[in-house]
Amino acid sequence: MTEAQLLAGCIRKNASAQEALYQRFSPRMFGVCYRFAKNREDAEDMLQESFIKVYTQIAQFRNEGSLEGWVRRIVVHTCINILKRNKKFAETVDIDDVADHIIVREDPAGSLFEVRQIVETIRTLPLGYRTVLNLYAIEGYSHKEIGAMLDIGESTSRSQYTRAKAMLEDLLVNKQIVRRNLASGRLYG
Amino acid sequence: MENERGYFEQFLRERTDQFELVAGRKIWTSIYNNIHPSRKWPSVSVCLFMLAFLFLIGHLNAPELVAPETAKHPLFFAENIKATATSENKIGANDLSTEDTKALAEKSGLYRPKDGSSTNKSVHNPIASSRTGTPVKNQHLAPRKPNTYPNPYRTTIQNESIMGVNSAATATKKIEKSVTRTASAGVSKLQAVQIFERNESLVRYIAPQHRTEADNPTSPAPKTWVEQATGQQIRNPGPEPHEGAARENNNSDFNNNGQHAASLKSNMTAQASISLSQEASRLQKDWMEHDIQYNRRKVRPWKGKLEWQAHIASGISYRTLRDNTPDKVHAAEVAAGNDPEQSLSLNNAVRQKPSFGIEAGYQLKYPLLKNIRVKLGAQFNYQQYTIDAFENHHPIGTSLLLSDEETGDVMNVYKTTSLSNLNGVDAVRLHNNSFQFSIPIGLDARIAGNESVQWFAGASIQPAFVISARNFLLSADKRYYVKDNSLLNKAGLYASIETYLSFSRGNYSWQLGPQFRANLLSTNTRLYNVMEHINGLGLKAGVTKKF
Repeated sequence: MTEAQLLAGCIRKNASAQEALYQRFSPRMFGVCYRFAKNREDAEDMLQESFIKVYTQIAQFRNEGSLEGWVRRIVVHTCINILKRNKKFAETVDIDDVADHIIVREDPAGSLFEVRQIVETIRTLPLGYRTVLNLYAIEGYSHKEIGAMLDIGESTSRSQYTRAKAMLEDLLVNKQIVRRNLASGRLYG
Repeated sequence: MENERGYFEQFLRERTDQFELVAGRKIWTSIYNNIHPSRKWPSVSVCLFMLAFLFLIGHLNAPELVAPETAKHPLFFAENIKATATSENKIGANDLSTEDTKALAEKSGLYRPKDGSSTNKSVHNPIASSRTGTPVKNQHLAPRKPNTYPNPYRTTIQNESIMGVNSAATATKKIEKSVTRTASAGVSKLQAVQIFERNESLVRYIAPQHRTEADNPTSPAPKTWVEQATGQQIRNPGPEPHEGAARENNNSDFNNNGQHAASLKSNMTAQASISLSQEASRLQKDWMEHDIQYNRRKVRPWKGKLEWQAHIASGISYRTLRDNTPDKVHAAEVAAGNDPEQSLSLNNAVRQKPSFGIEAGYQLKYPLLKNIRVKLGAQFNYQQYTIDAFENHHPIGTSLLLSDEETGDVMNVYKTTSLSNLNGVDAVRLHNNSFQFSIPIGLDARIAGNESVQWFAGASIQPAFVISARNFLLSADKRYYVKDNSLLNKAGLYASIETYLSFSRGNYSWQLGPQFRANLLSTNTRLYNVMEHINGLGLKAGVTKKF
């Protein structure tokens, strides 16, 4: 089923099309939710609420960009809203909760361990650092947009990100997940 | 400032883009129910259908009431009234009003007012009223005329003075006595009155000097009220002397012929009895014929046809596996040096054994044709099988292979487990089980037999719903087992074939025979690359009874 067919079917509230859209995008979106959430249960709640919004607002999709990108923006905004609503900023990370259900696409040999460790390391960051880092470095939002979303100032967002980035680099290097090129300072796996 | 994004951000983005998680089926279910609140679970619909079906069966088997219109028919006799007689409506000596007794006496000829006026009142008699179309009280019965019966003692009553019954009070007493005597047998008031009225041939013992010119032996017999009601000629019954006639009768003829009168009295009594019984038999016969014709009860379509069966079956359950891995993955495994034979023969890669299973349920059966019955029921099934494996003392990383048939995507889901298929520290036995509720719908065909022993063959389709289960999944490399219920199919479809002998005795029939139950859909979802079918073979015993 092509993206256009999926879109048309979901607008008509066709159950098959809706399930196909969910099956196609849910693994990656669940990964997005997992990076924002405290634990798997919160991530599932975020995913569920996100897709409900996707189906109810899918008629508003204007074909400006890919459908996946549009879905992803809804997911990110939903995650932020839930975090702000619940204000659950626990710092613990459940390793056992992380161990299951991790998928690596098409490259099971090398990056499985690395990807998992990177994600888990991101989740060990404090909530504020983690959120800003996810939004800026991975999701591509500007500091101005981040400030508007999190109700913080743009400069606060920048400073939060700078500290988050430094902390994450140190963690990744110290855990030997990545190595730092001494000449360029770049990280590599 | 936005150009701060550099290699680090790109590195993070590339790595995290590869990170995906598989959400459980319940997430999609919650989403679906949220966006489609009007759509219900199939099980709820099926449960509602079953409840409605059972309610319909009960309603159709409710006892039919006789149409009230038939009760108004003139020949709807007191047989039905008798059945309703209770201690409350049994008549007593004081139950009849004066007016009622006067009306009865007048009708039977025991009493006639001096002034010729009639009480013109009738105790409610549905027979007469409906037969003639007007209430008895509105009828003007023809005056009684003497009949041709060669009995000098039978005549018409003309005045109030009746030999043996010389006053209205005496007539009242006699009526009450007769009705009470009848009522003492336990019949209702209405029936007692009807029987009294039916005994039209109560003796009216009139002295000769009281006979009138109208007492003409040649005149046609006066029509009794029954004759008037039915329009039929009734053989005139013989007279019956009153008990007190000898004392109150001043007739010299009677007194002078005591013995003759006594013999006459006994003869008349016998004749009267015979005539009464004959008349009663004729009326009873008429009533029965009419009842059969007009009061026929509606045939209940389910009565004697629909039957229920309770059954239990025990046997063994065993598993068959089928590989649903896409071909490109097979090719990749071969290229990677994995044993291609192992990747193609799932059933040989595992060590599994059948295990005990049980089924219990209830069915309704209805004959469509002479030898074919349709059946619908509900049952519970417990299936299990055993896997021989090994357990290690530390968790080992492995993965499950998932593939999306629509998109063609293949995913590896990382898992940890201590259960190994090939080797390990301790040998263990894993029990996969499933507890289901299913709805069998099918047919039974009678192959041969007589009234006592019959041979049947049957088949059914059984939609099933998994209530609880325990599931151990084989890893992608078939080296490990992972305990995971998230890939379990909650709904299934089974087919069953059976043959059995049925032994009938009394109202019950007993069945015994083998049954095979096949799983048409995989136990696991289509995402999982291993298709699993759990089948069962057992012995089924049941008991059947017709509604």
